[in-house]
Amino acid sequence: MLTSGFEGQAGVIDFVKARVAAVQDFYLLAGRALLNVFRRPHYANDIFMQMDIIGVGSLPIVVMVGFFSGAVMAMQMAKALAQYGAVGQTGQLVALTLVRELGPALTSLMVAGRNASGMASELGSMKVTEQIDAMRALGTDPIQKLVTPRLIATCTTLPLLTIIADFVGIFGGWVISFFVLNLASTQYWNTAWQALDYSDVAQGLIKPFVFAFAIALTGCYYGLSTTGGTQGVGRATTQAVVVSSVLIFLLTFFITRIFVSL
Amino acid sequence: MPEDQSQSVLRFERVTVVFDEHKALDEVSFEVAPGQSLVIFGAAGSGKTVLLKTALGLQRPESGRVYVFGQDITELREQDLFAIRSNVGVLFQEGGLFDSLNVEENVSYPLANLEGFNCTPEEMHERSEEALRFVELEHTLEKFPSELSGGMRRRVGIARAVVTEPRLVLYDSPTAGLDPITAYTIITLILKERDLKNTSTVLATHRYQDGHFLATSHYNIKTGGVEHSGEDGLSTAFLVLQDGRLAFSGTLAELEASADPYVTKFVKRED
Repeated sequence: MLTSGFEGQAGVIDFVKARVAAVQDFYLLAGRALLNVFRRPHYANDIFMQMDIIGVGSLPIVVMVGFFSGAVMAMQMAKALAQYGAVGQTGQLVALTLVRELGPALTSLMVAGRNASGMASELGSMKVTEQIDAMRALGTDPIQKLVTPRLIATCTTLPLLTIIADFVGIFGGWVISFFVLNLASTQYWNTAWQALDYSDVAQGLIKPFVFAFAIALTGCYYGLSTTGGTQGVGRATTQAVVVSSVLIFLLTFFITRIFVSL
Repeated sequence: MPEDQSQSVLRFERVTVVFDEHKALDEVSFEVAPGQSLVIFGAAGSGKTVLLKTALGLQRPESGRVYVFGQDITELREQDLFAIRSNVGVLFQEGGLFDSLNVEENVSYPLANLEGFNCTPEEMHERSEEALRFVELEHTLEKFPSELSGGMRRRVGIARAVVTEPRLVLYDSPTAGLDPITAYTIITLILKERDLKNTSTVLATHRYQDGHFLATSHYNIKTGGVEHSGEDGLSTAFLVLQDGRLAFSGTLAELEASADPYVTKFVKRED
C-alpha cells in the first residue's frame, strides 16, 4: 500500500510537471513568434499566403454563420420582445449582441475549427516527416518561417472577418424583420445603428484580435509538439481545436468582464 | 568560444542525450577525421538518428561536448549554428523533403537559406541541376516530392545534402525500406560523393552490407565505376550502438572478429 501511495504521488507530480512544462513551452513559442515580428528575415509571401488561406478561405463559412445567427436572433428576440410590445427594438438587440459577443465569438470559433486544425495538422505532418528538422538544418528558423506568418495573418484577418460577420448578421436580422416581422427598414436600421457606441465597436474588435493569438499560437504549438506519427497528427489537430475553442470562451469572459466594469 | 585544436571534423566527448528520463545516448565518444567515413550500426531505437541530430545541433546533449570542425557547438545558439550547418550536408531518414516545394526548390533551398551562399537565381538553378544530374534525376526539376518514388525521394535528398559541397555529410538510414537494387543505387551515390569530393561521411544504418560496401569499395573517377578495393582499416571506422551506448568501436576487421553477442548477432544478420 505504501509503495502504491508513493507511485500515485509520483504520478501526480509527473502530471503537474508535464503541464507546467507545456505551459512554459507555449509561452516560449509565443514570445519567440512575437519577437520575430521585429526580426529579419520577413517572409512576406508566406504572410500573404496565410492571409489568403485564413481570411479569404474562411469568408464563405463566416458569411453563412453570420447571416443565420443574425436571422435566428431576430426571430428569437422578436418573440421575446413581443411580450412587452417592443418588437420595434429587434434591430437594437441584434446589433448589440452580434457586435459585442456573437460576431467575435462565432467567427473565431469558425476560424479555430478551420485554421487551428489546419495549422496543427500541417505543422504536425512536417514534424513527423522531419521537415521541421530539415528546415533547421538548412538554415531556417521554423518559428520565423512557419509560426510568425500564421500569427500575423490571423491577427490581421480575424478582426476583418468579424466586421464582415457582424454586418452580414445584422443584414440577416433585417431580412427576418422586414419579410417575416413586417418591420419598417428604417426602424430596424436606425435602432441597430443608434444602439452601438464606440465601446461596443472597440470590444467587438479587440476580442477577435486577442482570439487570433489564441488560435494561431495554439494551432502552431500543438503542430510543433506533435509526436507519434500520423496518429499523433490526428491527436494534435483535435487538441488544437478543443484548446483554442475553450480559450476563446475563457478570453471572451474576461474581456467582457473588463468592458462591463469600465 | 572554446576551440578544439585537433583535426577532427566531428568529435563527441562523453555525450549523453535524455528524452523523458530515458537515455537515448549514453556517454558516447568518437571522432571522425577529415576524409574519413564512419559507419554507425544499430537496431531501430538504438540512438542512431539522435546521434546525427546531436551532431547537427538539432538536439542538445544533457552532458558531454560536441565539436564540429573543431568548434564546440554544445552551447551555441540556433542562429550561430547556421554557419556550422552550411558546411554539413544531411539526408534525413524520411528524406525530409518539403511537400510544398518542387524538386528544384527543395534542392536549391540550402543555397537560398544557409549562410555564405549568395547565389543568383541562375546560379541556384545551375547548381541544383548539377546536383540532380549527380543523382541522375535532372529530369525531375518541376516534379513535387509526392510524385516521386521512395528511392527517388532519397536521391533528391542526397542532391540537396551535397548541393552546397559540404565537408561533412550525414546519412540517416538512407537505404531503409528500399528494394535491394534501389538500395545499391543509393549506397553507390554515397560512395561516389565521398570519393569524388573527398568528403567526410557519417552513415547510420542497420544494414551490414551498406557499411561493408563503403569500407571495401571505392569510386574510380577515370572509369566512372565502383571497384572493390578491400579494407585499409583506416579510412572507414565502425560504431555499434545498443540502447544508446557504444557496444563497439573499431575497424571492419575488428568488427567481424568481435565476440560480443549483440555485435556478432547484428553484424552477421543480413536483410
